[in-house]
Amino acid sequence: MELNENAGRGGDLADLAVLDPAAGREPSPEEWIRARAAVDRMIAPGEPADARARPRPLGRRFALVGAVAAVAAAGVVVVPALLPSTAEKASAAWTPEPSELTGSQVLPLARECAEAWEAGAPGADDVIVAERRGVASLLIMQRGAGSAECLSLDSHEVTAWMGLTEGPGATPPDGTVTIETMSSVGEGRSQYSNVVGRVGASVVGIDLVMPDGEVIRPSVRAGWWAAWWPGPEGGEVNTFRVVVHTAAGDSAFVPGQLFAAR
Amino acid sequence: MDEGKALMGAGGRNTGSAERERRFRDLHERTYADLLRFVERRISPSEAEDVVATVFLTAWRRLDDVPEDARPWLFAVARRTMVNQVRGVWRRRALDVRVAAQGEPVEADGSAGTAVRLDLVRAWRTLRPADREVLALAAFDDLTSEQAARVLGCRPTAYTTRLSRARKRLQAALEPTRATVEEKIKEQAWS
Repeated sequence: MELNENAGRGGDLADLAVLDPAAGREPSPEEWIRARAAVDRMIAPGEPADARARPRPLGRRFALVGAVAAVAAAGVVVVPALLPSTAEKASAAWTPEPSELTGSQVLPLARECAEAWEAGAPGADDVIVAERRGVASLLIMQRGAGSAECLSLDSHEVTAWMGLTEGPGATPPDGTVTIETMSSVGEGRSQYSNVVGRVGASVVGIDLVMPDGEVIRPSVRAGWWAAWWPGPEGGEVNTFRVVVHTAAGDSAFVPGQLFAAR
Repeated sequence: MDEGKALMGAGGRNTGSAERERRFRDLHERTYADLLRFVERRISPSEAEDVVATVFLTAWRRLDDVPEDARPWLFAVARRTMVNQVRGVWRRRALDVRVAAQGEPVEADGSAGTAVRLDLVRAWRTLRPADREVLALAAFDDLTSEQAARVLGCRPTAYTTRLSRARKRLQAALEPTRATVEEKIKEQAWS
């Protein structure tokens, strides 16, 4: 019997459908408007190819091969995601609550991050978020209008980085938070998740509540929040909760409610 | 019209720009929602619109290559676009398929439905990304073996074999949990 034909779908495949992250997902009227406008631009003659494709300005960029190759050519070992063995080392010493880094600890990390990002020599003011969990440090940096996130180990053997925004970006409304990017990488014991977002004024803290009840405390500073943790949840949809603390009380969300509109 | 035949006007290859535009807009209206869902199953919603727009730009440029059964062709372009984007970022190792629990966090609440979902999520996490991909094409994207094979760029028989193996591994991952539940029921019945 054909397993996945409409008339003969196997029971296990039908069961799996409950995990479909896009079940019942229909484009919103606003998405249809943007999509049709993008089609109009594609069809219109004389526009640059990039402008034709994009429904709106890109808010963030990935670290692509060209940038990595350029840094590698300079003799620095840089990969955009932690190697499995390195990720396993970082995960083994990971802590759910971050500790802060001192100024003397931050500057060497900021230089490594800026070097990987090819962003020029950084100053202390360029570091927005700096935290440590075990042997791994996470930085969010800005240079000019752009920003990037870096993850590195105490041994300085590797720095993983990812571009976040090309412009200043919008600060969310008072008391609210957004997610700029969320993902996971790796498999098994080397798998880890990463989330970065923006916070509005009045937000005094954020907690991430995992499916098993573990609470992870992200770093929150200067309009940004960020965390990383061992596990797959960042690559899944709504499998953990984001609890936002303000003076007025707490509010809980699933990640799907918080993705930033661009 | 044959499934593999390119999208053409009634009179064969139509070079008229108005007809070409009409065909492209029709393609977009028919497939936009499906393509958005396909992409959002694999990357975050904040990145999906850019990927979808890139796919349609490719379709516009190569409109005469788009077959009548356009979804697998568009999904294949989307998959290549996402693989190229995620290569070199946090998700460096493989394009993966995400899972959800009907929009709610996956937490135990004691109900049978939740228990089944939790078992499935746990089993899903033990699979390799390649297994998750072949399962998702059938279970989430609702493609036939022939269509799924076109998305992956392999022969239908190869896809069917990979699907069969992935289903066995899923079943094996579910078995310990099911066996435990059955044992508990048996224990309760005898106590």
